[in-house]
Amino acid sequence: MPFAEAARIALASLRANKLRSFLTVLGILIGVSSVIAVVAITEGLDRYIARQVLELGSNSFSVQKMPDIITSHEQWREMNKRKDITLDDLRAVRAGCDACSEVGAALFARRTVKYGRTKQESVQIMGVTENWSRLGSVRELTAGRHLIQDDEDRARPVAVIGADLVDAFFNTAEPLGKTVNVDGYEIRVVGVAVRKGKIFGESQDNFIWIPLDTFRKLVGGRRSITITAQAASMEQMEAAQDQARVIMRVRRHLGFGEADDFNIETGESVMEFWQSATRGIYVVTILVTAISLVIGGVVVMNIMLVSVTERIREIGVRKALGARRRDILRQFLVESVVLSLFGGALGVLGAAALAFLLALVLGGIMSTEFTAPVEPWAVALALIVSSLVGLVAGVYPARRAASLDPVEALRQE
Amino acid sequence: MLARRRSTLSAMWEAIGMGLAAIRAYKLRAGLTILGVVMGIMTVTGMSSIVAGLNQSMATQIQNLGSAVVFVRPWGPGENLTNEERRRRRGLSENEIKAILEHCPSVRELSPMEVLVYDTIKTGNARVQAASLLGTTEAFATVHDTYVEKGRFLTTMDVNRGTRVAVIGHDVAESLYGPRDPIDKEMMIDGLRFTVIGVLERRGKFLGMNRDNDILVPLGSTGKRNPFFNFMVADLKPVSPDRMDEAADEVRSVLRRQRKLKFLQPDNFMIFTQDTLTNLYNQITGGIYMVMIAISSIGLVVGGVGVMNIMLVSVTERTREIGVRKALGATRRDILAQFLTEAMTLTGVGGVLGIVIGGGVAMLVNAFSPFPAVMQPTWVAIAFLVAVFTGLTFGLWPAAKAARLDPIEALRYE
Repeated sequence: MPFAEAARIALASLRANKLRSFLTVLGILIGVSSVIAVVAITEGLDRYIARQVLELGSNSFSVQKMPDIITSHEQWREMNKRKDITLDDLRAVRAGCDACSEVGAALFARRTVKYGRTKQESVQIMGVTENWSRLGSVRELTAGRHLIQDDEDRARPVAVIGADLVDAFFNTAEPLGKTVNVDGYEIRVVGVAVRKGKIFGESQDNFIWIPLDTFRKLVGGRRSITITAQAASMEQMEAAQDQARVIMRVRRHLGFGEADDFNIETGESVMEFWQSATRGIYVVTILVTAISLVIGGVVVMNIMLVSVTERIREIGVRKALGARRRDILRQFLVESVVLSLFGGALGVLGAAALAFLLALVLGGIMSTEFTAPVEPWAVALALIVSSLVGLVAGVYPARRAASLDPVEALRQE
Repeated sequence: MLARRRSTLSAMWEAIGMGLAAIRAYKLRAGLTILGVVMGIMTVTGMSSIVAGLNQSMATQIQNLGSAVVFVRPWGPGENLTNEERRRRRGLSENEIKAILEHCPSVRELSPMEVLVYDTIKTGNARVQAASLLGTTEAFATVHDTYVEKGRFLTTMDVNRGTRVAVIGHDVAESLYGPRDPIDKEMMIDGLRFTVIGVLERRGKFLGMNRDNDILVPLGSTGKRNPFFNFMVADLKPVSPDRMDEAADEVRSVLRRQRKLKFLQPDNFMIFTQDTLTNLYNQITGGIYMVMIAISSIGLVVGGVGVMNIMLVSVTERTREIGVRKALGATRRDILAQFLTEAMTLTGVGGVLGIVIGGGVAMLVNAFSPFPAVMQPTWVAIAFLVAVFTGLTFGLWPAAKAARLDPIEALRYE
């Protein structure tokens, strides 16, 4: 019996018992779609984090006093003992790193910013070098100009502000040329940056950029700066990091065996931390949902057994007319595989819908755009796994059918 | 009435008996159907016992902080410090503590604690790294229900004189003195010589923080006055546990008056109790736990679909039987009850097996993983009820289909 014929018979028998087939398919469908949806959601979360983290730009890195991720108070205390990174370090890296295309630096603080009587609390005040907006991913302006070298050299009291400040202070009025008040200092707004939205409920537009030296005058200079550098190209990323590391080590007089007393961070270290923290949860969740797929397989097996029992006479007739064991085996295996493959295919559709809905809900909770992509490999895997489930679940019933004695089978009432 | 009830009861037993007979008649089929439910219930039971275990260990940890304690802190638990007003908050001052002791009749005892920042604590070459150094008074012991295992605790005299003595936690004793008896030994705290007078009994961990790492010294004995890093907090105990709220209110009004807060100004301190911690924990983890249990119950739904499918087959196969029953006077309700009971028997058996296996899984998890898994009777009962309920929901349609059959048609069915 050729394969096509087996498939045709299988489809016919599935059509004959529509309700039963539907319920069996439903079991597989629920299993497959929950597995794919869970995979899609975890993938979506990973991507979301990656997008936010790699904001820094894929070929930029930063040299800082403390690592991005500190896991204990003790570690913080150790790290806090390190030397501050200074403007001299910045100059040295700038001079010595020829694999870097841009080297800049920033200082951070949080203050209340006032305009007239309106206050905006917890604004991130960033003292930056003039090239800051070009480091990593470029941040465009909606109005006005960027900070320029001259602002930096003369420590002018000028600022580029984020969209939240515009909302709070100026609404629809013209922000350019107005002066806002930071810690009692008047600062003139010269530019407005493009809106970016929120990450984990934390606004990315609640900031004000001022020239580095202006910051040092206003907030104080005894702070460790963060040097951010951009490699000239993706290939030179490693080289640029090495150069920066060597320069810093030489400046700190570190011996051969000594560890760095500063940290070089790319987005990847944060990414790795995130992944190691969540991998366990992902695996458990996926395993738990996979159990439902196994249960779906059990349902398929059960129904195939019923089907074999019901069609004993049919099998007897077939055998009497010359069907071999292999033919019967193939017939029932194909039926079971078609059944679960169908469930798998519908499951992919169900998963797409489920993932879309869950992404909407999650996006609503985190108040950001969030997509849970149903990956092609997940779809392929689902189809393969569901047909495997069908195959495994079908083996026993099919063998049972195939091993029937035709005489016995025909006599069966 | 009584007779009627007996008849329903006996009918139910009869139906269960018939259900079991049906299971026996189709061993393999019933076995596979039950297997689906077993796996579903197993996952749910396993997951819920892990959740219950985590909850329980958290509850005991919160309990161990001392019974009926009111915490007075600059910030509440889980408050983030992005807000500027919150970051500017200060600890309590000595005057404020005096005022609380003076003006709050419901406060029985108050233990001020000054969190001290230090560079090194050592004796000889042995150092402690992660110890938390607290300046406190003799009330610490009674407020926190923590007592010394060896030696003595701080006394009023120690606190009044600022004596350089220290009561240390178990882990500190171990890292500084090893197996030697630490009592009357000396340790250097940032260059000041302190004498160990007592070792605290073991207190375990709280939120991953080791609480056997404390070093308690009399308030003011280190002479450190750094308002940025060292701030004072207080824990207090009400006169009786049912006057907790009163005590908290009194402290609040005293502190507001001390800090000269106006009518509409919000508190610039935080007073909370263990309930606050419990609520916060539930709030954080509740959602995650719900999701985990929801995900683990997907399998049960698939199992339920399997039950429905098999019940439908079973109804079709037994059409003649149904016809005969109806012809002999069985009402619709009888047939409905029969098939519903059969489905519920199936899932009930599956539920019991699932609970047993799930319990085994929970024990394995408990033994071989860091998660504390506990089987709670309520969860076991819920799991069993859910299993039976699954049978009810997914058996309803097949049973209704059986009950609706026309006896004449059914008898004619080949």
